[in-house]
Amino acid sequence: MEEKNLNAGHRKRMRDKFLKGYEESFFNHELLEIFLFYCIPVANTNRLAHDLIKSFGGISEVFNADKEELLKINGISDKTAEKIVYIKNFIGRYGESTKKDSEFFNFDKIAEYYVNYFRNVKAEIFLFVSIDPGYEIFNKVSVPVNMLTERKISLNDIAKWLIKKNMHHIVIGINHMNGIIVPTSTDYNMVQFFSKNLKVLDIIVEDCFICSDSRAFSMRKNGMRFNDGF
Amino acid sequence: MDENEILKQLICFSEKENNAEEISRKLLETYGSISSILDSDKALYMKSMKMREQTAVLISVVAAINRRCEIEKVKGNYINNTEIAKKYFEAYLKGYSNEVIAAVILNSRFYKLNDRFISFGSAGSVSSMCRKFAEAAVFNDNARYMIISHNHPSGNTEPSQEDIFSTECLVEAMNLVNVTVLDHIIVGRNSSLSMKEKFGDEIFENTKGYKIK
Repeated sequence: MEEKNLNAGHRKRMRDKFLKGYEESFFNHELLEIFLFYCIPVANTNRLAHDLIKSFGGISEVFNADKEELLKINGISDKTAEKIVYIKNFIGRYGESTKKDSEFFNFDKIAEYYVNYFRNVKAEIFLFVSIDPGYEIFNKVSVPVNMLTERKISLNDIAKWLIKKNMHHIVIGINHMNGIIVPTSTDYNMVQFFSKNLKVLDIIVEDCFICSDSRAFSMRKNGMRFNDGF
Repeated sequence: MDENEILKQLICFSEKENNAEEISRKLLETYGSISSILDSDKALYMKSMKMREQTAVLISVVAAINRRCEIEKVKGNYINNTEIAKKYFEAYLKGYSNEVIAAVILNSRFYKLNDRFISFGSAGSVSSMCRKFAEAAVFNDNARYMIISHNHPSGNTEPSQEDIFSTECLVEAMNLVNVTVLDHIIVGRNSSLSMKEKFGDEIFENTKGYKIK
């Protein structure tokens, strides 16, 4: 009973730390340990997380392993192995590993990126993407448009998230569900709002793309001014 | 399986099926796709969806694992020469406008066990810095080697006297925990410098297997 309470306390502390902290400050085994909370009730999963990474050679290999290989690890049950294998659906499918190069900031490449991203998105979203050099995968933050227009979140929230993701130079993408890629006055006002207010935190809005039906419209390319004011 | 079913099955790790179904439907109505959900911030799920903390953590940790797996695939896991070490930390540290210090911990075969940020901003005293590196190493079984790195926001990659002194102290300190510091990579704006290449055996032990390239 005492061990159960100790583990429950540890799990709560880990979750709180994850909720409040920087994702970057977590070791891979700690992320895996937290995930294993959802596979194994009560027990301490720290040791098992270490064992998995050690046995398979890396976190990506753990989530690439077959069920049979996972079952060979002491502490992995049938259900746990199934859950780990289930996450394979997510790994790679919902993230990109496009190598960014110094030529990323050209209209065609960014337009293509947003068109691909929004292809299967069935709600209107702001997608803030970092175009800072040095990242292999895109730093991005998505925010449903209605949350902004209904004031369920604020500029402060967005500013904090962009800072947490270490974003400096960003492009905004907005998808329209109506097939029209011309910016509305709401789009224009929102982008202007972000551009003016985020500059004080050294977050520079470089462009905004309106996307719909596999097409994209760049506000910058079509004459709208950024950085030096709208 | 459609996205609704995929997401629902994930949320079932934390919620009863009925709840999972409703949460999944609401999330997809709001975000439009699993990609957008994974790219959002956990505070937003909890605020907007009135979601249990456990479920918000589950979705966020899966998103974090997804990103780590992608990074691992791109960066690779084997660091046994100065060229790979420089490329590794150029990717890891570029883009930071303030000084950050990081380390990668390797096993005896130069295979990466872990990497992490040691500090953001001011490094503090040398001994407290050595302590942080030692902690990063000892909590990894089989840690045998370490490569450290920091960036110069000015863009210049030349090591300062302080960089040299701290590195010498760290090499000595890490020997106490049986971890050999192989190199110290300084990342500038468009390039990086390997202190192993510059100073060789003056600062670092001569380790077979870690080559200057």
